[in-house]
Amino acid sequence: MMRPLFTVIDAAVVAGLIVLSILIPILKGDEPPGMLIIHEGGHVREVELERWATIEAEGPLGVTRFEVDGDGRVSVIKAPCPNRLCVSMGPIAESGEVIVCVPNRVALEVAGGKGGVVDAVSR
Amino acid sequence: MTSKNVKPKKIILFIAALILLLLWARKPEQLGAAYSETEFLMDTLVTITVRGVGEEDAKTYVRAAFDEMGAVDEEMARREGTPLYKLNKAGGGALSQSMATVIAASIHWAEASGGAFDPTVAPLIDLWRVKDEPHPPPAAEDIADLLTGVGYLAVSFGADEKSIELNGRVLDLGGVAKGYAIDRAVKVLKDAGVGNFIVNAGGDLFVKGDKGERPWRVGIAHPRKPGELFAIVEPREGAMVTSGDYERYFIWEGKRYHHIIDPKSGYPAEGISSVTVTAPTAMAADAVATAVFILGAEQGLAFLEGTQGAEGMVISSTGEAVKSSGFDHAAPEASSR
Repeated sequence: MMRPLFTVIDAAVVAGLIVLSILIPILKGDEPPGMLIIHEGGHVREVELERWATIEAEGPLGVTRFEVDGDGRVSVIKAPCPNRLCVSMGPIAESGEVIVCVPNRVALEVAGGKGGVVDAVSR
Repeated sequence: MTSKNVKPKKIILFIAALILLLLWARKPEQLGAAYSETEFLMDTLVTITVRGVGEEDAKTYVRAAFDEMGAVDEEMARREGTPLYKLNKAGGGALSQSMATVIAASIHWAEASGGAFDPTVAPLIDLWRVKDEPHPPPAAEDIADLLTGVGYLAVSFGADEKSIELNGRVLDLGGVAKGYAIDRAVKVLKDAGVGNFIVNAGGDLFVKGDKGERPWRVGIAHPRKPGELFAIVEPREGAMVTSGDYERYFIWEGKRYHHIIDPKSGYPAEGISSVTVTAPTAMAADAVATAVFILGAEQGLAFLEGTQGAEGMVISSTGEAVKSSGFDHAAPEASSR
């Protein structure tokens, strides 16, 4: 009589691998680090969304200064534009959220991180 | 150990383990990576994200979609030199096909909403200067004076609908032109065969397809908690537009004055802090969202229920959320956050 190709132990090994493949990403927190995408006119740069950071972006009107607080929330604290709408727009923290300073052609966009569950924000 | 000792089942088990490890190691996005580009357009940040096409094709299609949106902005912004600027200055004249389409849609939504949405509200928008530094609100007499120059009923199309007489009115297409630009970009992407994309113009969206491993997820901004989301939804194909009092406003002596002006009172509309509307086109969603905001929660919801294809969620000034009967179907809440 031919022996079966797979034994109970073989099946257990495969089942174990399947369980591991599901559990490992969950346990290790499979989420990308939060990034802050900075649009400065036609240029784009990305910085890691570190806590307690002050960052500057340059536009045609001057420097837009923004800070990241201890909870990863981004706010514009100084802007050279006349209406300073961008200062009142923040803070932003969720992936997809944006602060835009149209006169100074500067925009800040949160991407990924713990809030990286959305692909866009309707606002 | 020689090759003769390697049993077939061990080889099969080894391959199975390898496949499982590869499945674990890959990022889901790599199965169909999304491609995004962002530009400043129409006084906001526009992001177009496509998925399921090669990068070179994606770049070509996204570029074409941006070009369409840019063309709308060049034609329908109210800044000096645009065709709309010239039309307003001349008090009317011949219309391009796209301008005729957008103005006709504006008039349609003005009629449908009983004048809550009105494309002739431009003089009041200019008077309030919400984009400027904080300042005292306009005098009541100035508002009353300008109200006499507002009203879409005075606008008349020529017999062929290719020309228009403004009869003293000034058009502001800001309430629909952004939506129209999104719709034009959507047409470009659909014509190119792109099955999965988001066109996002400053939070006004059109969503089609999915992200691959899950539906596209859209956060709805919390109107009173900056940096927080009120809800996360997975909208079906179509447009989603939110109008709120929290993005463009100024505060004077403790009172908030926002940019959505009621064309009947001449003052910023009150009662709602945010309304999110879904519709088959962004132009419709744009106009309906503005109309609902001005109508207020009760009348606004009635308007939504009577508008085919449109659904909405209203968040009142006190923070209560009320949805139209089909909103949860059009934009079901995401299963997990």
